[in-house]
Amino acid sequence: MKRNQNVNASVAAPNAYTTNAYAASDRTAAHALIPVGRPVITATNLIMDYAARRRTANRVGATPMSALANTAPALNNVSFRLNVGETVAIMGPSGSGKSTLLHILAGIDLPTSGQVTYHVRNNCAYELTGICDQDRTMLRRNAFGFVFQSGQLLPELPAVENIALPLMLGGTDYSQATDTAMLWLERLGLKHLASHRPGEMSGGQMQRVAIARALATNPSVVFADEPTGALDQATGREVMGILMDAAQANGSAVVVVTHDPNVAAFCSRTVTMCDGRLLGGEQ
Amino acid sequence: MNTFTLWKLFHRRGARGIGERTSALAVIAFAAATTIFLTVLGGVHGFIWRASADHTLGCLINSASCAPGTHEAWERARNEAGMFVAAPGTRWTAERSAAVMDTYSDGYVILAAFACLMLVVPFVSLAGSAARLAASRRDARLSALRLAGATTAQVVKLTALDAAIQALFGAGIGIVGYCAVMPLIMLLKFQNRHFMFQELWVGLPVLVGVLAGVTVLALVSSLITLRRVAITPLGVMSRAAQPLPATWRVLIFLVVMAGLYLLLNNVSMFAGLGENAVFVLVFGAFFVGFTMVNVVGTWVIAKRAKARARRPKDAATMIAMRRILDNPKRAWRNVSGVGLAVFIAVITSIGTLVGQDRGGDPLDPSMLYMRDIGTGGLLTLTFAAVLAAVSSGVMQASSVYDQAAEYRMLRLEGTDERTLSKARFKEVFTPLNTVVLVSGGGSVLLLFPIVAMTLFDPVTLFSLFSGIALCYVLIAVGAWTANRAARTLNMVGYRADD
Repeated sequence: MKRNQNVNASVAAPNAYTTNAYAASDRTAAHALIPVGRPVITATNLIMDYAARRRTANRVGATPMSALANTAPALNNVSFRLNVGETVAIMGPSGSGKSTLLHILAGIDLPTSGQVTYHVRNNCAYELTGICDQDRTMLRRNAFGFVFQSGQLLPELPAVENIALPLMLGGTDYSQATDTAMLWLERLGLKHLASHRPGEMSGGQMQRVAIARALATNPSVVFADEPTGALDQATGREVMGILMDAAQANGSAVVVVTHDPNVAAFCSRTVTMCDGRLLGGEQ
Repeated sequence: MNTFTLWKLFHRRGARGIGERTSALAVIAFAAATTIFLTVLGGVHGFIWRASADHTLGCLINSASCAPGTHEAWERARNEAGMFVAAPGTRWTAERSAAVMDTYSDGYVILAAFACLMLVVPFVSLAGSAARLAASRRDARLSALRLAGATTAQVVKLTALDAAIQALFGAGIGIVGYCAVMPLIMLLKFQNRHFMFQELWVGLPVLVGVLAGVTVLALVSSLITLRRVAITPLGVMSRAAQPLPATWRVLIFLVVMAGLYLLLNNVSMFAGLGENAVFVLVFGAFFVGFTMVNVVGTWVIAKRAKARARRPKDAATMIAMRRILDNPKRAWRNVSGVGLAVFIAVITSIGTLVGQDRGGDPLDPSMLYMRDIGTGGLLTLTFAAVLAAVSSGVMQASSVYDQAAEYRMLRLEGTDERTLSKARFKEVFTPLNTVVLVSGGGSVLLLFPIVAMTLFDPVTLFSLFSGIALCYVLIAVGAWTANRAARTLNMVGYRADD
């Protein structure tokens, strides 16, 4: 019931955003042509075994191997598919491998075995598990956006520059990047915070700035790791609403890792992890 | 739990991590400071040894406390030497030259004391950065300890023990360093003769004293920094904008510099007070001038960073400038040692110019004296530059560790390592350029009334620029080391698990 309400709210929201120039950028146009159900990220047979990695990292290891041999892998044969514009919540108890999955999907970490493929558009795909660290960095910067629990904003930078940062990293010049950042602040009703630094904001405000920063580059996928973990219920709901609406207006898919069923309710699909496996097989 | 048991818990073998690395850095800082301190002390000891009738400090100050008979012999030798000076046109023999050089000994002691005074600033800065480095990592750990039920007293004792052990270790290595550097110092010629071992050797009691002194210093400074870091169980640092340095600093700087300029312009008025008094006056003026550079430094750096932050040309510049503006004092501390080194470089370059061989008699004592001022200046410059580089490197490394979480986030979001390194370099070199300009400008202004156009002699300029280049190279090495530290950081203590 609640989920349906939310989907309706999200569908109604885009009109508020389509007036600005960025909603009509190339990528959004490309999204519009792609039929729903086309994948943006597919992962097959992921296995992540930290113990095995540590064994290879220090062959003459200081840690006795027997101590690590019995540890269960963080991911145990996980396959996952994320469609264009789709919103998915990954739930599960602590230590079930949620964050590990998110990190591997986002190319932050490499799995012990298995494949992650990022589908750019029409038959063009990257093998995330097969490209070098620098390329994955570029991909994270240009194609993905990130919202973490807290602490991702640079405390020295005012809000507007925090949002402009990823654009500038991509080579946009300062004035253009800050203009875009101001548009995003305006869109999320945070214009008055433009020159404030994170230390002078509340937790909810910081998360909203973080959402603006994640979406400023028009990413195909936004990865959120416990985005409301440091907020109270009401603020958390508000922040999730903003994240979902803004992502939808942008045509970005969203992957949210969370403990909180209220947060998961904002997503169109929920998958549950337990002991490194996705419950219900391939999702 | 016994404090030592607690300490051992944190220093088990295999418990490697950031804590381990910061300890290593602190030990390096203490070692460098001790080596240079002892070397300088050895030099001063050597000059006092030469200037005093029975080679003790007491005799130099009060002739009544000299060993019986030595003072009279000393006086006689000096009077004889005075006669060589009085006779013009004499050819200098090695023997006569050496005798006259001996009469200059007091001047050498004054100059050595001046060099010491100059080096106090980088010493304090290095000790401060070592203590701050230790405290930076302690924050998180100590809060966790308090949360686990440790009493404040236990936590304070643990910290003090930590700092003291690091300092003791560092000072021990520093003493070895002092012994290792000594043969190099013995190669140098002052008063036209090499230092002897007994001149440079400060003696075992002093070594023990320095070991104890450094340890106590670390203990005290760690307790002071700890007091500022309130170790509550929930010790979260909040960061809000700091007010930028006030403009009154510039006014003071301008007024005092103008006053010093006038003083040095009319220094001949004080000629009646004797040569040594004029020396003290001139070098005192330089010291005040240097202090003024410290007063204005923060303001200039903040101003420069603000100008560059208005329209940064790329992300690295933006991060770097904002970081400087976040804490201009920290940025200044990072390079303040270089401000001093530049001052010394300018003074030294004049010594080099006057002291260079221009076909005069190579044994002429006044010529040798000027040459020695050049050599001594160069030595002080090297010490100041090394101290500045070590403390700047340590400070940068500790700021890298402080900001580890943010760096990790930026990396996750797709910031490449190159941008972050570039930002760190800019964060150091923007203040460095500024301080070299201000400090160089200030010292040239003060020197101009004394040496006038010789300032622009190629020899002076060459010596000046090599001095400044030395500073840049050493600071770059420091920055590079910090970047290395940052590279190892991303993997440390991080596991992508929930």
